[in-house]
Amino acid sequence: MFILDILIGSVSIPFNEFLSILTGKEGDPKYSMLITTFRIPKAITALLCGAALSASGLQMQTLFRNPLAGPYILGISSGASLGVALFLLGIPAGMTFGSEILKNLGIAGAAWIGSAAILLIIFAVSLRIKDIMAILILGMMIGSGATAIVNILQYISTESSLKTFVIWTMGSLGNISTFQVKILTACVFLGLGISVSLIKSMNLMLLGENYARTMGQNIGLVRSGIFISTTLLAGTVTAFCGPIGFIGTAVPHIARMIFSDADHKVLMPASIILGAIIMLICDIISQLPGTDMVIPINTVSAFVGIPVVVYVIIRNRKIG
Amino acid sequence: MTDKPAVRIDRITKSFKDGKNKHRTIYKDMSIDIPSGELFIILGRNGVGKSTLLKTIAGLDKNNNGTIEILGKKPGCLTRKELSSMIAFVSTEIPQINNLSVYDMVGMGRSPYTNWIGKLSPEDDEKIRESIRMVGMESFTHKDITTLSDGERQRIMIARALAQDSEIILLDEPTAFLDIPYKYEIASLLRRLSHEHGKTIVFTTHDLNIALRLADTVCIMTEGKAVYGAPEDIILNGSINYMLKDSPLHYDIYDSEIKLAATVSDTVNLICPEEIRKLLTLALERSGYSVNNNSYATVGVRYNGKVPELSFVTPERSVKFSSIGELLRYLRR
Repeated sequence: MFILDILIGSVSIPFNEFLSILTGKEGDPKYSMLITTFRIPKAITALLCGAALSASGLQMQTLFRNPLAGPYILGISSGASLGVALFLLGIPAGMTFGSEILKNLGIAGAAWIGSAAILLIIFAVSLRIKDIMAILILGMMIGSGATAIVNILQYISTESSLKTFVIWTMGSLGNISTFQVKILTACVFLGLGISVSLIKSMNLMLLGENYARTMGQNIGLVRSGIFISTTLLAGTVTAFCGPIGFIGTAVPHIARMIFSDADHKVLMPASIILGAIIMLICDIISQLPGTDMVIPINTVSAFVGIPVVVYVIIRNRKIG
Repeated sequence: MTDKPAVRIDRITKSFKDGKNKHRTIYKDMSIDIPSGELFIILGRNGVGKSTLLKTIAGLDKNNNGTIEILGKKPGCLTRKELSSMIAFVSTEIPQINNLSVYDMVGMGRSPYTNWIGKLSPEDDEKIRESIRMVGMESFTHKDITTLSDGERQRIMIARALAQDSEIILLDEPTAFLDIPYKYEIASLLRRLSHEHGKTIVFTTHDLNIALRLADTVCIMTEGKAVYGAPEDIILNGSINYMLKDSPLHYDIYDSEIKLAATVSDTVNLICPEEIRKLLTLALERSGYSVNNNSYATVGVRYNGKVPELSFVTPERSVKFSSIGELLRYLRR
């Protein structure tokens, strides 16, 4: 899938060309450039995004004990966008970034703060309101609110900073620099590392906090772990690729359906791998193979994710 | 009483903020010693703090004052992990998790003993199977927990607590939401587990009959105080009736059962076969008549094991009935 994603695009690359470039032999320089500077970073990004969003979705579903939780649905992605908007539009006009590195770190940091803030709000509310549908609607409201603030910011900001921001909003899996891929890789691996270390705790969290605590878990520690990990995963992905919808909610359910298991020992790796694969498929579809057109990745992920989310809502209603 | 108690509660006080700066004290300077290896049942009306007490013992809630000792140790000096090998807790919430088998659920009880990712050793596996056997659910081992009935799921939650291998098991209203046969089944199971396996089992309930019939020790909580002892001691010192004081119920020591306080307005003689005397007395009391052999009116009953023949006789008239319902309806008018 990874290779397929590299080969397919507005310019298709023959497989033998790909092999010869990979093995270091002389190939068509046009293809060689395309692969190393564009296609490979894009495929790696897709892989990381899918894995990160799915893992963060799974742990949010466990933390909130809400099957519909996910970074996009609960407004975490919007929070990250708001953070980036405040960062890019809030800086005084005329000020330029010392370096590209500083700017990228700033974007990532702003996204973390934004997503962590929304996550905290949702969590504080979910301690009082147990109805999962209410939390869901609230998450959407907060998300819309954040988007609205972003819109206002766009109106009142200066032309030059607006331009920087608009370029960011158009960001997709493709428009990502090698340096950004490095930050993304580091953050995603750190986030996933935390997720994997919390597998046992998350299993116990399924029973509820009282049970988890009486079985020897330090709830505060587990919660902060999930918090940091989700912020890192969802925040960083949004910072560099823009909001990508529904993957985070849908993939853990696809994993549950395939493996019919509730154990995070199975679900966590399954979600990570499935998320990566599904994201690659989404990316391939978004290239519209055979044509010159590219549709936004968010559109494709919505088409893939929404049916699963709808299915989960309907099934939940039946049980409830 | 030379044995060390499993749990020693020493003058604990619990109060919390109730809305606008009002402090509500649930209990004050309450002391309880829970004996080791016994079935200890906590009774009390709604809101007296039964659940809070259990949660406080389990370390899920904090007391404002006083100390608690678990097996001679202060929970504050123990890690959560150490505490979890001493106390298991079954709460009122019964988790509904899709795709989780009975085995996995009970297996979660082993988590204080497993490694970072929760890998089960052969010893853990043996413990899990034994716990499922102890609650009589072997044939359900690989079933999904969402397919079980309420009573079956309650057994599984008990098995999970057993798998935790703790000396003390606390259960918050384990018999709530169950029908009467299941209530007794779960309570007897808990009694058997405490006696056969030497576990200290503490549970709260509203079910007076179950508590008085099955507990080794009954603890009555009323307005911040706790009185405890063998069921009969509690009955004789009047604690049961103190708990029921604002209700239409009272405990009748002579009949050894709870009765609905009758508003008796009249008396009748009762002539009937001995085996149904008590049944009819209760029926008459419910309708406002107490049985007294020097009464003006007489209720006579003939009963052949199927259909009773009833009559109501006074010096002026005599009426016949073909069911107790008809008789009672007549008496009420």
